[in-house]
Amino acid sequence: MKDRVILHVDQNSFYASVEMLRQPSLKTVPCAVAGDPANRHGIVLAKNRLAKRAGIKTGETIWQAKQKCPQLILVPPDYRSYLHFSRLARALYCEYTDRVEPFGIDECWMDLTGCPDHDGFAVAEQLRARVKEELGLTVSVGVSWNKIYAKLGSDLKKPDATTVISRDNYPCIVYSRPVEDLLYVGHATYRKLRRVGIRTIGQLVAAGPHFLRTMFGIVGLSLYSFAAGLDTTPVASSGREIPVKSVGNSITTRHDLYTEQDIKAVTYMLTESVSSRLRDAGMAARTVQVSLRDYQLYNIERQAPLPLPSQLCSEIAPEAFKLIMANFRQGQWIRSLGVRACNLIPLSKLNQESFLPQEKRRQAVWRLENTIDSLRGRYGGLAVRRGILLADRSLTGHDIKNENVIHPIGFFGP
Amino acid sequence: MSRPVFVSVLLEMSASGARHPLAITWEDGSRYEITRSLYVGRRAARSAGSGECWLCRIAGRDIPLYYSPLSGRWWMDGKGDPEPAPAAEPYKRVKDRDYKPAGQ
Repeated sequence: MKDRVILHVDQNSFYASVEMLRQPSLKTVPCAVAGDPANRHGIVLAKNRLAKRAGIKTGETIWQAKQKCPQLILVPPDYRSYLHFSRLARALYCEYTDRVEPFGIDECWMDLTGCPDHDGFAVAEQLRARVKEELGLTVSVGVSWNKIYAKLGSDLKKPDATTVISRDNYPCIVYSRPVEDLLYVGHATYRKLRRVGIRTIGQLVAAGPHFLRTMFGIVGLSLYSFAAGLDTTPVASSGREIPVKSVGNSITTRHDLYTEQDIKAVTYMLTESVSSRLRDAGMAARTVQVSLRDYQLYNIERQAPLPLPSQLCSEIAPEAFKLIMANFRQGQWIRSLGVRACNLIPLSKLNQESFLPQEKRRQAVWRLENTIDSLRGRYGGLAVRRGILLADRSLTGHDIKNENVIHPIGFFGP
Repeated sequence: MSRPVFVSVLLEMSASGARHPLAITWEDGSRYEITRSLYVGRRAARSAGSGECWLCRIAGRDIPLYYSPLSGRWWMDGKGDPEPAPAAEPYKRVKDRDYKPAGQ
């Protein structure tokens, strides 16, 4: 069978590039896009080349970055324009093939197999030129026969470059790369691999599937196939609906939560969004999951079954709150809180009419929450709010549902 | 160097939805008639930004006019230096732990 032609297109320091496009003078100074420290989102999200040269890394806190480079200029993020440019770029990729799979906001895989333009390198060069001319941004492109090598290729030369990893040159390009360049070799895997002396991708391949299987279990086999270029994961079609597996929202609050009232208010605010999104998707949850992060950044996640499958805020929120309070210890102030509804089933399987008074009441609550949804749809997410949310508006003045951004799903997909 | 100059545009919307700029007003208030315009798709501007671009014939020369659907503004490449980058501010610590909820 003929090899596939897969491109991975990565927009170079995307957020920073968009800001520099709007304000070209930022190109002459070290600059970074960073969240708002007052809302405790104060980390570097993207940086330009001068800032990178000063040693600034993505994910650093602002004070660390300022210590390294006091003249660093910080720009607040503007997600609306990033999404706008991301959509435009994606529309451009879709002119070449129908199989365009986004991986986050600024990266995409494209499968050109069987397309009229199936010369990977030519398309990559054309894409680069077009993105530069039409959007004013730069991309780096990796061309290969599988998604993993394509991604690796796009990371090799930056910015504004094309790297081809073919059957002829892959041993000398890929095998000498450090193993952490491989997709899905994170901190934990990297540490384990180092312990047995595996530092490059070539050494990982040489270790063989059996050894990796004994070390990592089933994941070891996929690691081996990633490293050896045997991965056959398809590039998803761009129009594909991803089935919803769970619905969740989380927030890093403006200040730590330590009173029951604050925790309750934030829980209700998050659950309102979760339940409303459940209703939009026509799903009911059987399990509720909460995640807490305390002020020392220690994470815990707990879950509990719901008494009945539900999509109602007034049923999910008390369960979530109970779960949080059961795991909340005094002195362990909460920095970030998340509520997730999982174990979903379609509502159509549930709608049996019941004449029990309890069930009648549920129906009434369901109608009430639907009405509130439609009011919010018409007049904005903050039009109708619970009384509990009004106590501290710095915590709860968010329209969680509409501010919600869905982050990329894992490589293995749902 | 060039800088973006935001202009006001007199626009004709055709029944099919196509837009034809007819005249622009420069930042100094002078008005220029556009004798012919040609939509050329999305382009990155020489000065700043990128957007939908029309080549407009003004006084015998074809000059690009840009429109950003994101900001809803129209601009052209003007002569002169772009506005300088903002000065870096010293880092100010946000004392979030000082917060005490009401009633405590």
